[in-house]
Amino acid sequence: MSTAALAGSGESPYQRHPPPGTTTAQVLARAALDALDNAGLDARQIDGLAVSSFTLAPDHAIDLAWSLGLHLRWLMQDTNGGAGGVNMLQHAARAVEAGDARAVLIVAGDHFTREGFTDLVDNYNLVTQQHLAPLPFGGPNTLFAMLTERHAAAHGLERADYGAVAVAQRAWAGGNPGAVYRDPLSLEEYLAAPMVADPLCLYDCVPVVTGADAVLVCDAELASDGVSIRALRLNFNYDDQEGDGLRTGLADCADALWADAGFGPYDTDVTMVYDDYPAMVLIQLADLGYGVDAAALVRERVAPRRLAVNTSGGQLSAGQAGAAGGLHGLVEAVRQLRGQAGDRQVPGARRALVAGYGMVCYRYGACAGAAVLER
Amino acid sequence: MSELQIFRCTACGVHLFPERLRCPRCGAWEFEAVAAGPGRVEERTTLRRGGVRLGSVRLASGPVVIARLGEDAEDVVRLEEHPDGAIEARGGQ
Repeated sequence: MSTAALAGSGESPYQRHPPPGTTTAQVLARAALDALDNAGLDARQIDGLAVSSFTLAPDHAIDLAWSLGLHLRWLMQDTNGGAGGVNMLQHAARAVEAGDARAVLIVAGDHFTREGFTDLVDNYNLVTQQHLAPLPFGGPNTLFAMLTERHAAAHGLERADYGAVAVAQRAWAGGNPGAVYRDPLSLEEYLAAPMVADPLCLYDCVPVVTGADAVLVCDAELASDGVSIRALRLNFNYDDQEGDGLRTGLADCADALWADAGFGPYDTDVTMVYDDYPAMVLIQLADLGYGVDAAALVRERVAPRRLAVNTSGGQLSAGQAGAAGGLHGLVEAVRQLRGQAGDRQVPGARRALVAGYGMVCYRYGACAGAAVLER
Repeated sequence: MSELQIFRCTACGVHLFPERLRCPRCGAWEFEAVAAGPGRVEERTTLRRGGVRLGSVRLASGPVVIARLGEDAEDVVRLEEHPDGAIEARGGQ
């Protein structure tokens, strides 16, 4: 077992309408402070920093380190979006295991202006600039709308099934004071909601917010009530964008992941997957071994919340703070396993799966990874 | 406006879009630009804000291309590229 442990988690409150003068660095700092407080550590103990942010530019990780007065011997910046949290967790854990750092702060988040978000979406990479933005394509909603249509046809699902994912996550969000959408959502409301890109409606799309998430990965000696990493696997460019996106790189990692963990998907108490869209929740669960029958998975496990998925409400209800999305599930898992999930606490939660997915090179995400945690 | 060009590996013959530096199939480094050829619209969507209709077009040669659907685009389409880079699916052969 790794000598590294997750010692704490924190968040800068997600805001749909941040006050004037808000900056990216401020929200990153706030999440960092919250995590330090949660872990019972002092900023002077931090000797490693990992950052992921779309809007920190033109600043880099070192600028944030300077601004926070951190004196480090290990530093990285991640550009893997929704898979960034698991990726940074891997790097940080190996740093601690190797003795390159004793206490690593991992932080991710963003503050977008409306223009900034549109700018990000249309300039996500060269392929987007050259081949998607001119259509126009309006961002990933259209790509994942078509992916959802294909998924529905392949699995015999209806809009109500994807709605059931959104409804279930909203029910979890009712117990999360940090979620931007907490009121219960009914299937009727989902089916009557304005369409964004057929067949996706308002509730299939994440609310973009300003905010940040943070975790501390430390030598186990520094962690009281620390969470251990039983297994961690990543996959980048699993299919050269030559598939249809209905299968992610997680499918290639799952066997090794659970073999390393020493137990299986249904031995976990909480499951966090990257919920940019309801279809991707079902796809990641299938890839990870929770069930290939998508209809049964949603109707018998996810919808009735028999399987505790995205207990913060996920990004669909809590909000997506840009790059924080890649760390959001990890923060929630750490909270659940340390008994700090308040009204949404899954009693006796000891084991968690956290999956990340992201970075659409052309038609769907090319980065994916998952960690199995235990306390 | 001209037919969309895609990329054929000169070593193994696989067709790719968008272009790559190195062939994912055989590892070679040389490609030639070729006409995209006909394709079939597999999925479609309408971006409600603005109204643009998009489709996921699977070319007979292999690659899947995201295109704006022209008025006359039905199931079988040809792909054209506008000067601004926009790829449009048109009806007919």
